[in-house]
Amino acid sequence: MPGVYSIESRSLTRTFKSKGEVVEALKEVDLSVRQGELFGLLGPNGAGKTTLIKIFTTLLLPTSGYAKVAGHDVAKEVKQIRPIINMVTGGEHSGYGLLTVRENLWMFSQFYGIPGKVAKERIDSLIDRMRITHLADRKIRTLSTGERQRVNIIRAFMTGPKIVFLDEPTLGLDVETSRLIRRYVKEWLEQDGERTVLLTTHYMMEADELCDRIAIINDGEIVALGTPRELKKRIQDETAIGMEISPEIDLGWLDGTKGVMGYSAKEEGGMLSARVVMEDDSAVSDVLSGVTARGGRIISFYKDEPTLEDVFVKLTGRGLE
Amino acid sequence: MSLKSSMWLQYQIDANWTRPLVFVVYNILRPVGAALLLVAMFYVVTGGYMGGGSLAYLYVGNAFFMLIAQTLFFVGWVVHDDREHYQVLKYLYISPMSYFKYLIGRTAMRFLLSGFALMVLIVLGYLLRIPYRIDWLLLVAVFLVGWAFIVGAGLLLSGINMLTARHGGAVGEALAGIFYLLSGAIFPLSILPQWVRGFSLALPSTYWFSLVRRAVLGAESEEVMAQFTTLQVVLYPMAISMVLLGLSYLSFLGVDHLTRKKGMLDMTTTY
Repeated sequence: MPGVYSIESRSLTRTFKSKGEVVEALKEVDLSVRQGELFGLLGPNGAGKTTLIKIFTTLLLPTSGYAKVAGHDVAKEVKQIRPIINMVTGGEHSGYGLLTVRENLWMFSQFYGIPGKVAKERIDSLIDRMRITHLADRKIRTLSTGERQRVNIIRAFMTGPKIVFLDEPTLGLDVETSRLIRRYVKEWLEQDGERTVLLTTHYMMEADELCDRIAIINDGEIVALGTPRELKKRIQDETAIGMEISPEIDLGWLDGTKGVMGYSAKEEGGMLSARVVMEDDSAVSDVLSGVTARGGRIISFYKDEPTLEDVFVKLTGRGLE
Repeated sequence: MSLKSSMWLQYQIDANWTRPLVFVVYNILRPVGAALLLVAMFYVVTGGYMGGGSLAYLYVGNAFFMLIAQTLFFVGWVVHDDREHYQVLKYLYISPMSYFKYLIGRTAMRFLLSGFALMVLIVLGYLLRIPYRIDWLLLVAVFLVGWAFIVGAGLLLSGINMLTARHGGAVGEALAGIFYLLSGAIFPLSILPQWVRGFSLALPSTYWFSLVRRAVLGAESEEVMAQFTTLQVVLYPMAISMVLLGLSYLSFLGVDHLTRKKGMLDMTTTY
């Protein structure tokens, strides 16, 4: 496909009507993903990542603008697109529970018209690769979330797609399964230069580790795009600090604090783990004194290397979680 | 291939929940129990008289109605099951196969499996001394026409169900109920009110049940339907079924566009 992007959108807009209100899930999204790329969409829940994936996988029509996969329009050329794509969604329990792992996979291979012998070889090989040989003849309904997701990964990759869409594929999975999936996706892409992956995630580490380029999406808009290094460079002049605070206090006051560009906070083990992005070091003392003045005890404090989440915080004023 | 695989899938879903022996016993006991209940009611109502054409009419109509009921009932739920229970509709949809063809395959297997229960009831009928006079050629027509009609109606229903929440699956049951009541399955058209009779005569299933009685009992005993020739009761439902199949395909294309427009292919309505 010389000169053609694997995945492309121009002025892509999608609205939903809900109880008389019009919600804009995607706003004029322009995206170009090259062949061979592992492209990440990083954003919090509700940012529009899944909507975008649904449009690219022909499950949803755009409201305006266009989206193309391998040069084919998702609205009009589904027959050309479907044989070369596949997708995996995280955080769900999909699959025919009454069928065994092998039966489920075999059935899907037949829906893709893969010859029986080839299908069997691919299934066996991937079952082995995903380390679920011992589960091959177990019914899907008896599997754990992580085991089911390994089956889903096999279902998507065994059909020989050129472009794979991974929508939060490691959501809610244990560390080992997540690592296995990430490693497999990376290897799969490296085996053939014509393959492409579009990955959505709200795990910044995942995006940082896997992606060649990342688009940060917030409220249906692409707010930044570049390689992880390029994105992190955007905040090289800023200061990012991390701290653990006990007891938990409300950090809303940070929004109005001079020099603070944004913050993210989450509860971890009874403490508040917070990251604050500031214009420069001069705001650090104000932040620390502000915490103690509100009854928070700073358990640990560190100045950190900028992360993708800091980029997100700087751009949107809020965290990814 | 998708047709064969979807038929296989339906067989697995129907049979895979238990051991083969239990599956066979269940599929014998279920229809037999329902049929015997009907026979018992007939026995009570007639004061113990088990002869005459009425029992044969009732028994055969009820047995063949199972093909309609079980298939339409099933079709009412298949889209919702794929979409919300198994959560695979989106994965089926983005595959190169035709989901329409897939539905035909699953409906066809459901029809075939219902045929197993029908066979059991036909055998039971011998024990109840139902006066069979089977015309094998017409019986083949019964299954061909019946399949075309049920699949046509079922696919039309599937299109509707793609646009509805889970409760929409009950439409299949309601439709089957209408056919039971108005098609002369067990209630002869002659006992229905005149204004209802006109509606009955517009239903392809009415002619199909008449075809069933001609094929299995040797003649049509119901006075309204006896006015039609055998050719008419073959051609009329066949023609309607072809129209239904065409309509269901066209509606499927429309529904396909609408579900993609509204984002309903992975909708969950678990309330």
